[in-house]
Amino acid sequence: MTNVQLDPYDHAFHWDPYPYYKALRDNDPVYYNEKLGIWLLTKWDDVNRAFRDFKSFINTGAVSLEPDSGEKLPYPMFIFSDPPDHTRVRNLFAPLMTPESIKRLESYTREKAIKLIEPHVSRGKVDFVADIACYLPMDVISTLTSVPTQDQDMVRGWADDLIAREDKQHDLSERNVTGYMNMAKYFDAHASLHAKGTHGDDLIGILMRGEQEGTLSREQVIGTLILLAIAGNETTTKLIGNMAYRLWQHPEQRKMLADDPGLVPNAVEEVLRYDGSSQIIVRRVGQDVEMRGKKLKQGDRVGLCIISANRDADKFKDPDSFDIRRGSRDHMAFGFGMHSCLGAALARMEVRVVFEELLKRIPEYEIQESGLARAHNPNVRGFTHVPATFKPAAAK
Amino acid sequence: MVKLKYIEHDGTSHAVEVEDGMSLMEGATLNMVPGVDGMCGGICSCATCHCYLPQAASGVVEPASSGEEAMLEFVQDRQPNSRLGCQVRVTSKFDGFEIRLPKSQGTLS
Repeated sequence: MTNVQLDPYDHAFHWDPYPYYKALRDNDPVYYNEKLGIWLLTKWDDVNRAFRDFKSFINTGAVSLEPDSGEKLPYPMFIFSDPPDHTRVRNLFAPLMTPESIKRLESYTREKAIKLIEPHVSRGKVDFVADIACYLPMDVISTLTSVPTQDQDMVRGWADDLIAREDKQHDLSERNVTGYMNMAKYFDAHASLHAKGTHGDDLIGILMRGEQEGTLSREQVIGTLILLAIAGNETTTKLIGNMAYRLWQHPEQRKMLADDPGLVPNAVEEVLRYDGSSQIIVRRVGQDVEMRGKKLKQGDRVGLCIISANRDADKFKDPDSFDIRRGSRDHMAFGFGMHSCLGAALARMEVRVVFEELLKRIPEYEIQESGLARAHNPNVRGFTHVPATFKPAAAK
Repeated sequence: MVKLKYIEHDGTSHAVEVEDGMSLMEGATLNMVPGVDGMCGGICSCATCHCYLPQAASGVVEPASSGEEAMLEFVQDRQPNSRLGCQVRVTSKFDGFEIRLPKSQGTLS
């Protein structure tokens, strides 16, 4: 038994949730939050089991923390489904998302990253999220979904509306639902625009061909495009902010990266483990299951606390130390197994490229802590503002 | 459905049915066959769905892409018939195949 209470909607909790998670891992690793009516799994082994055992832990009617999200957000997204239907839809897109396919986007991503960073170099100040990170992933994902440049700020604004949560807001707000419905309306028109003509092997082409051949409904096409606008955007943006912040807290490691950019991929993995941008993923119990003596009943909701699992001392030695030399990929920042993040290779590439270009130009910086601001969402974890100052480069 | 057998390193055999068009990794993970992790979910990023194809598979499957070849560098006990299960699509021609699994999948580091 324990007195540990954890409310993933509490804004104060987001600033440093790790001690709460540690207390749960130590005292009540399979924890039931009565107020929210949800189980929270906090150990690496338990979260991993839930990811693998897709019959006991199902995605249909789950994934987000709000129990009524299925009714309020009606467009089907394949992450809310289970095999074999889920597998069939996922396999339409998987070949586009391998590291080999993603390589084609690298030079575009680098060019965009440089364009975003350069104007700030001579000014001596930059906001890593509001000036850089919030634009880049939306721009790159838009090349896959064919959202034109002039529409990207609008779509990003709606995605922000969808994920925003007021302090201790436990249900979806009007702002959340409006953001979602605006995206749905936009992507319906977007799909109609692209439905005509021949379809290529790019993402929008695959979606529209699927609709034409009857394997995907228009609702599924809209749901998938909304999913990409959120997943391909929010979490990568937040990961860049988290990495800038953690490298500021560990200047000796930041110097190592600036001196040897070959270490950047390892540093990205360590940020994913140490302070990933996806906090909790939800499942529903598909069949009664027992974990550490607790009985989880069919239909119960279960939160898989990824950022807690990634700090589990039974899995990682000295888990609360940030060490870019670790570079291990056995964290579950992207999930694990059949529902594992389809955009993982894309996210890894984007964050790597940003820091390769950033540290080349701004190897040392000071973050203004008083200016830090967070997005508050029980899943997406990270900052909306990470302001920093640095020694400006001499004008060219 | 295609009938396949996955054989663990210790000889334990798992007879399963796999839907045409799914991958060898999915054939294992959707049937909860131990010994295949499929950590990255099929985007050729983790090398934890290493398996050995039977001789009969040569000529039936497409050769590994350069991306898969790069990832195969990370697997333990690589053999000439080593493949990443997520990159091999199951077709009706696989009926009756025995897919052998390595001693461990390991993780990239």
